[in-house]
Amino acid sequence: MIEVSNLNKEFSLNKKQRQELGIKDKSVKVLHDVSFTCRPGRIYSLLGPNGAGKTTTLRIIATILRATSGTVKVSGIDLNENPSAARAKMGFLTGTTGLYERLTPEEMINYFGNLNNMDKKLIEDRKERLFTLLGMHDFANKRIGKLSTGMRQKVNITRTMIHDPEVVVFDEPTTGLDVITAKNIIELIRDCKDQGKTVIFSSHIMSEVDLLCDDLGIIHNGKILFNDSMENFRSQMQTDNLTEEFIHIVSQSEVNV
Amino acid sequence: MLKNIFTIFRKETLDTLRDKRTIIVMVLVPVLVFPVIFIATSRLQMSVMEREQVRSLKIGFVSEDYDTRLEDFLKNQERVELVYMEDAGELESLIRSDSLQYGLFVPAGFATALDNNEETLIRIYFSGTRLTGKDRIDRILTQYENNIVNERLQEKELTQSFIKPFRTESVNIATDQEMIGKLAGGFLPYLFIIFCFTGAMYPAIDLFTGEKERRTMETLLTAPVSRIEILVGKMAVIALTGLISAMLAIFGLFIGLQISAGLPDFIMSVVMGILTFSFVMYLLLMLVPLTIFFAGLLVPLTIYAKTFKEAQSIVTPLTFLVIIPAAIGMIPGLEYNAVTALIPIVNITLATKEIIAGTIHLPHYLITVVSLIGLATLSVLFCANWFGKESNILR
Repeated sequence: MIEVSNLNKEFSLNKKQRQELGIKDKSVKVLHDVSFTCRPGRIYSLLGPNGAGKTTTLRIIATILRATSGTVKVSGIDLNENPSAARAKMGFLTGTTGLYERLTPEEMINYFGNLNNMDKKLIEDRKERLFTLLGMHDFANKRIGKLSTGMRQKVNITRTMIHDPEVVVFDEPTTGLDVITAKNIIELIRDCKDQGKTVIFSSHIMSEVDLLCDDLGIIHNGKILFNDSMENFRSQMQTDNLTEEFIHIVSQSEVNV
Repeated sequence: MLKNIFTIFRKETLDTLRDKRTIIVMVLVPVLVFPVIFIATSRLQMSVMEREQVRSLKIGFVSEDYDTRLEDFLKNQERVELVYMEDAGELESLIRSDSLQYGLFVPAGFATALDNNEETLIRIYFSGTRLTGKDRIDRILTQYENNIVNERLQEKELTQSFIKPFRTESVNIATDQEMIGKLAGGFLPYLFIIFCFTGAMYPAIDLFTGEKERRTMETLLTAPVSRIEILVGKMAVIALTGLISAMLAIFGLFIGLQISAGLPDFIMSVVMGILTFSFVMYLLLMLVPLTIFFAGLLVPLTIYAKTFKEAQSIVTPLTFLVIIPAAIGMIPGLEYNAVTALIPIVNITLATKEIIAGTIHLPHYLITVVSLIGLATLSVLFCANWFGKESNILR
């Protein structure tokens, strides 16, 4: 379970950044009282245009960034109180996550298994299961730098899932990936749901959201514009299709501003 | 906590050892640079000397004097060839074009002046750009001068003591070890300070900026380890590479000295005698906090930099900040006292000179070690604060 309550985030700006953005304020607020809940066995999708605040929200959940105010609880653990314990329950994957090119998949997975305080036998068991599932044995001992994009993404999936996290955070996971690799990721997200995990993923692709999500949050300019089940979203639609409806909600919010 | 630090340390060590660039800077350059320099220079020096010894000396000779005693003396010298000329101006152009090594101009009345015990002169033409200068011609003319002085003494029935009333006997109270330590000992710390810093530089860039650039930093930050554990694990690898690089440079220096020819035996025996267990321990006690301090200097900059290129351009000028105090410590006459023992880097150069000379004052040495440990601690604390700021990590 992920519980996000009244999340606010401000980034302070230096002189150069202020000039680049053409603003006078010494800080910029990118999240405004963001609240939502992701439940186990369901997929929550955070949908929004570029720069809406999706990545910032997910980075706060993943403890890479700290919130200016508000709380996030992951499996009941408050991130402000015990971020390490929350991280142990979480897997984080993005479409652009890098890998250690000079290590082999075997070494990299062992590394993250150890960082997750797993014992040697458990790492071996989980690794064996994931390597078999994803067909990774052939390149398990090759340097990651020499692997193809698809192979790398499999390593990344294994890295994310090695400690069998309760909560999985996917930040635009299919960005920059080819169709086959993107399909693998979609399958992984579905598998996570089937296993009863809490899944949150951000996207700006409506078809992906339509395909996967149970609950939907639409975010724009750092504010949540819609937060409900996909079922309710469909029932409240004022336009013909999902993309049109998404554009309608976003443009409506700009009119209101 | 220690388990996580060790896990990060082990992974970063493996990663660093697989980086060719780091291996070249950390291992190959320090080990090979001195043997290569020493072998090359000693070979060059020997070949120049050998060539000079067998090479016959071509001396342009212009004489306005009727007497031929000097000319005969020169002709009787081994491997000396006189080239007779009419004009002194011609000497200059031939020496400049390397056709002659030296030129001698003997003025009119030279022999008469000698016979009358009057002072006279011979003009020597040479090129100061040559490695050998005018040593050989000076030796030959000094020999001729000594012959004349001896003849005069015999004629007057006087002994050498007439012109040399007393001789001096020097008693050097400094041991060979002290002399080498105080005069040349500064070179050793200069060397390991430079290699310590450059050895730590590439791993620092790779482990922080490289990790940001390759987008693996975010992944690491989502693992259930604290930022201080990540920082300490990485800094330990950076400090270790600096330390290894410095030790390998010293090892390379000793190997280079051993395989090169040309150093006097007493210097060699002192230099080889330096490598004792206590010397290495004295050195390590200073080097360990020094490398941590260097890591502490490098890490905030490499955290801040966005790209490898940017990190290199930020970090490289820092080398001068390290070289300058190391060089200041080499200045002869700069004392190692309670004040200089506190100045970072300068204190290491001065302390090492004293250690090599065997004259280290223990309280001063302790001041140096404690101040370095303090500095290393402060730098780690600063790094921890810097690494904790998301604006630096995710810049």
